[in-house]
Amino acid sequence: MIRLCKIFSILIIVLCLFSGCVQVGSADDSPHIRNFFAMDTYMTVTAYGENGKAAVQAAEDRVYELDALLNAESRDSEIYSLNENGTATLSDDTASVLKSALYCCELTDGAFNPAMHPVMRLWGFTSGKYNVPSNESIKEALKLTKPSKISLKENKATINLKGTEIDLGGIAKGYTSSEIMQIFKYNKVKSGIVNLGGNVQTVGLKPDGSDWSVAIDNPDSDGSYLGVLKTHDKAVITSGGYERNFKKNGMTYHHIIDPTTGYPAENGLVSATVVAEDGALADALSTALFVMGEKKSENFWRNNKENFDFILYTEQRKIIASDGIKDSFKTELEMKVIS
Amino acid sequence: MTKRIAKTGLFVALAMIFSYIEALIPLNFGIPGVKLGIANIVVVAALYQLNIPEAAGISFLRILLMGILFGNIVSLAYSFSGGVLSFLGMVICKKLKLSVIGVSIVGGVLHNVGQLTAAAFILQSAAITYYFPVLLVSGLVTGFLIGIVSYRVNKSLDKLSQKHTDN
Amino acid sequence: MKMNKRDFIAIAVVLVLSAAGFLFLNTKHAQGSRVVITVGGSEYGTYPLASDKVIEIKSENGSNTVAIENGSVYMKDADCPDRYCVKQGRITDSGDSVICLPHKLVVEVCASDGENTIDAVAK
Repeated sequence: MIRLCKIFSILIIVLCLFSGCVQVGSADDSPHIRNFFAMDTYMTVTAYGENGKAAVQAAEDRVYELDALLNAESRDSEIYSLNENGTATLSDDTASVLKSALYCCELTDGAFNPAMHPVMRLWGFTSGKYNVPSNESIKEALKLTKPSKISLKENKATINLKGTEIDLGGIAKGYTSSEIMQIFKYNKVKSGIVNLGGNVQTVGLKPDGSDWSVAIDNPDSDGSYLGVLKTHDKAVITSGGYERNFKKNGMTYHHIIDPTTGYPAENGLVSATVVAEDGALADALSTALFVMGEKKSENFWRNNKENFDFILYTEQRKIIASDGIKDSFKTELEMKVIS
Repeated sequence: MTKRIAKTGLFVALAMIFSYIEALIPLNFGIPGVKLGIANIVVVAALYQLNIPEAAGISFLRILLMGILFGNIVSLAYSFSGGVLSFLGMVICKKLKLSVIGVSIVGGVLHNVGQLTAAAFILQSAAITYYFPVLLVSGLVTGFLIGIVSYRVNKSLDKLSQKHTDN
Repeated sequence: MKMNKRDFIAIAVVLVLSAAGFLFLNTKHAQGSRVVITVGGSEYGTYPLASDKVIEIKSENGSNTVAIENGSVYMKDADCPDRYCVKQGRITDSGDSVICLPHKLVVEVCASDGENTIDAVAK
């Protein structure tokens, strides 16, 4: 009888352990999430698995670090001192972002321009004190937006025309999300996603082995989407005039300034989304495509097919998507595929 | 006859005290419904010392009185379905010649099953079935412990009534 | 103390049932992504587990405060008599639930159901 009791007790203990093990096993897939404000936006960083906690903490610290270096409006940033002094020896991070920015500028034939700061300031987009500048002042300011006047040799940056100022706002968040992906990989996080105020980037697949579902915001109505993109290991970054704008005398002026005119870009697009492995590239190109408009964007993509894919939302409320993502993007709207 | 009524009343009172003691012990397993169920000692003992209708009366009176005194209509429905299922199971198992411990285990398990089923109905949700396996095992363990105590209680009561009839 | 063969058959049946239950429920034991709140059997609302939120639910039965925080959900406060729901703590996995019996309220974590769940919105 005592023997039977012992067997019975052991059975129960084994069962309890077994159920305990199963629960420990599933806890490995749990998400670690950090929400915080940085770079003027709300950020959500999510990493799955046992290393996730350390990874998201490291990611948050990295964001603050990059924010402090790259913010052109902050007096303590390297970019501020470069703009102020005309020359500076940059940290590896800042140099790397500036290098990407200049590369994207060249690639897009100036549609993405990291030297638009003087014009942005004129419109008040740097301070929030919006106003519509005069034609003359815009023409004057445009003279100070030539990226060719910026030179970068190793880490030493020089501005060769006084008054020219660098603004990395159009690429900093994309660079940051790519950096977070590096941190995730370094921490052996197999599954993670970041959303830096609408700039989305993913590492690996979801813990259940499926693709991430990234919705593209529909600016026409709150909470609805243009469609949903199934993706992995990619950055998905959208630019549109609806993100930041102001109204004056019945006109809406948005923050994506066409570098050739100095006025908000009006080339028939509501938003431009770029899907690419490199976050910095995706960030810069989404701005560039928005500035280029439909036709130029299509031609630009044909010459750079291997580097990115795009989804454009036109003022006619149509979707134009590139061939590479036509199968992974689901939308209810009319969609034209470019190949 | 009066002796039986007195005995039954004593058992009900005892069962209520046990329920009350159980409520006083702040034993929180983190899972709703997991408790020792010490009142079941009395029901098991009644099942062996008295007859089935009397034991049934004791079990349901306890639930009814505790529900009226300390609970509400929802908690009453909840323990009632546990009580009915548990009692029926124990009666059947006793007939099937399981030992006191076996009867007590089945009682403990079915009590949890009954409560869970009632909760699923009240909530109109199957979410609660998530607790099903945990409650089965907890019913098994507590039923086993209660069974051992009931066995000893029965032995003492047997001796006691033996003495009574001897005198 | 005497236990017989029939006792062990009963014990075996219970153990097999619960083991089967564990296995069955654990197959659904994936990381959850949505929080579904039901009151009296009808759905009150669905919330993403990934974004922090405090939800106050007032029904004829009473009031409950559910909080979603760092990918987990718990009953922050409730005016039910036993407050079991508050004691149940945090849940994160799909299939897990916090239940407030007196208020007939169920907070359940559900897995992503593929197509309909959005992990992030690009804008």
